Amino acid sequence: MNKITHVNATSVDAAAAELGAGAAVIAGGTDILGTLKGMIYASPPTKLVNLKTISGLDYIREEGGMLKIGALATLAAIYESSVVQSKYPALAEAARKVGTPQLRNMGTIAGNICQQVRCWYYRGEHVDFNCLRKGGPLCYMVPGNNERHSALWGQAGCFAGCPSDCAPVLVALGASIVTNKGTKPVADLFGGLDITLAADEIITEIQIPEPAAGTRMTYLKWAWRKAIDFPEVGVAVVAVVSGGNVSNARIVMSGVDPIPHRSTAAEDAINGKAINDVNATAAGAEAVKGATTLPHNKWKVQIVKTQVKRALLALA
Amino acid sequence: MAEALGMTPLEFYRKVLMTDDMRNPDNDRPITTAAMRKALERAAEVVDFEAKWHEPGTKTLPDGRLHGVGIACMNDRHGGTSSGRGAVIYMNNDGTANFVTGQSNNQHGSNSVTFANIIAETIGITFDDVVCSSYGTADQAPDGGSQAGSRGAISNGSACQAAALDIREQLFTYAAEQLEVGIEDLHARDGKIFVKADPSKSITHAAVMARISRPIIGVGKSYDDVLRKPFQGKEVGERSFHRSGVASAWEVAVDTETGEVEILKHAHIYDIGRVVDPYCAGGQLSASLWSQWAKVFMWNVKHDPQTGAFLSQTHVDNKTPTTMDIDDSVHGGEFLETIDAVGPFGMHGVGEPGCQGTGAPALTMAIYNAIGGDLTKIPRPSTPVEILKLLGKA
Repeated sequence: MNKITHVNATSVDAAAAELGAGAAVIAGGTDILGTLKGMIYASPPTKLVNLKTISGLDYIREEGGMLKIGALATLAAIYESSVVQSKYPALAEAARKVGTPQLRNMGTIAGNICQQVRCWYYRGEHVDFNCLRKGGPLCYMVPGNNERHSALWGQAGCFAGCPSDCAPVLVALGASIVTNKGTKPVADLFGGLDITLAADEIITEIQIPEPAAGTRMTYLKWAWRKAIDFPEVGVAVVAVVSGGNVSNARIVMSGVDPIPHRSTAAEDAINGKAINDVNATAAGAEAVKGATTLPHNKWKVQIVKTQVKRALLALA
Repeated sequence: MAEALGMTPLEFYRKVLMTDDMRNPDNDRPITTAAMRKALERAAEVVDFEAKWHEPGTKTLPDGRLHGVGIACMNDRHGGTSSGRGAVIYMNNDGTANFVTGQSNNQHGSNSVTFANIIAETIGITFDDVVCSSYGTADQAPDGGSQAGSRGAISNGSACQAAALDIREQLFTYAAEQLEVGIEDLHARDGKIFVKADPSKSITHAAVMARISRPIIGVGKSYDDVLRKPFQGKEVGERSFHRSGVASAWEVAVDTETGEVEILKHAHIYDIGRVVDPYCAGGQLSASLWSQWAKVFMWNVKHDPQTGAFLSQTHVDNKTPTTMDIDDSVHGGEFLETIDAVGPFGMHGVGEPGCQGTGAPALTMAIYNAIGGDLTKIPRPSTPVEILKLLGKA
């Protein structure tokens, strides 16, 4: 068992000062503790900087024409929030679909979007698949068993699916993250094989602009089980529906790309059109164009097509 | 076979299943429990199988999903050879009883509920006056034999019943003297021993024990010969076997776009003879349904094809259903009480047959009835991915 130093931070600045080589942050702990218990890293963190001891970072409030969610707000608090349920129901649904009640009580919104992939090669306990994400030479998902957790689009050679339920919704909502170093779109948090935070950068807030009039939204999750499991295909759709026609649609998926995957082709297929079975089916077909199927994950193409179609129909 | 013969599964079963009037061709002994046919008919009735069955792959529901029904049944007879079992009952001066048995307290109920009920009923005292003092411990309890085979009620239960009969005989001997009647004229219930012809003539167990003024001990054992009992002119009861009939039927809807299967209706009928502890027996039934469902839809292990490394190492991937997957609609079932001539008070035992027999094949048959094609190509587990493959969509 590796020795780990545990530091209770009292402020964001104090936490950032503790970060650096060998250090990692811990909040809800539902992701990082699994990596440590599973001993999946050759060089695991030697220091955990606890953010839960920083007060005042778990708020959910409307302010300045946007919804502001503190980074430490739990997933349970988010889906129980009346403002989230009424104005951002897709986010409430995504938060409600994460894991189990226990995990939602512990897990935070920032942790949910920053969590590591669930690829069974990357996560293999005590099994040495030194994959791309660990500095190795290849993504074992490609030649291996890619029935589960695999992507239809790769990033830097990695074909592990994004496991976050909330990230695609936040990207679809045009949300931004605030860190101790600045503000940027949630979509820009994801790049290549890892999140784009600096070693001493800490997310403090999520900002979601207020939806335009007529905006409708939904999040549909396809997972192996109705609880616990991560999304194999999660589809977030946010669009303005006026006079029966769709505009400004944003269709973003998890589980099919190492990062939240936005399908502008599917958006183009539905924008300016009525919501009906034909148009929704056409958008679903567009959503999988350009997908790279691996030997065992062709089934995900069918699920993406279906879930995009059903998500759009749910907006009617 | 039914398909090849141009019959529905139900017609086929009706043609081949034994009936109550049949005898074992090996030894001409009567069939003590022929409940498979009864279980089958009840399962068919619950899901309205005759009306809902159709040629495989031919019925689409209004919402576009494929509809299917499946049914399966089995006759179970397992357990058999093992060492004899014993039980000891201590009748206390206050008219209560303590007992020890080698049986483990399966499902927290076999001893504290089922055996205690057997003893209370046999001695004629109340359930609350019987306590299991010790169980399953070699230094205090008699040999309980192997704790397997779904037959605790038959084997150790019979030993408890024999020990209780021993106690009863001793009590009745004293009571007969007090009441000035023969032992055969007595009966006991609710802590009172009374004259059958005139229940007003009675004496309590506590009063008998007070006059005896010392504890009495009942000893019981069960082994093959002891278990045999006369039935329809023949000695029946072959070893400590669990005997039961089980049948399952399912009605499903298959989503052709996602490969997901929804259970619309189900029936799981399990003949366990006399149901003494419905709560614990119901737990066995629900657990067996759960495992049958999981066999069909989830249980699987995954390996890396190149290295053989085990990939589904945790329950994230070595999946077992959650309560969200198997909701109330899949729980439960029904017990059929065909009273067995051998087991104490007609019990058969309960356990494995529900888990291993009919639920999974009936469910697979329902999927086949929905999607058609080749029955032998339907894999286990039938995950949504496998269903999509069968439908040519993956």
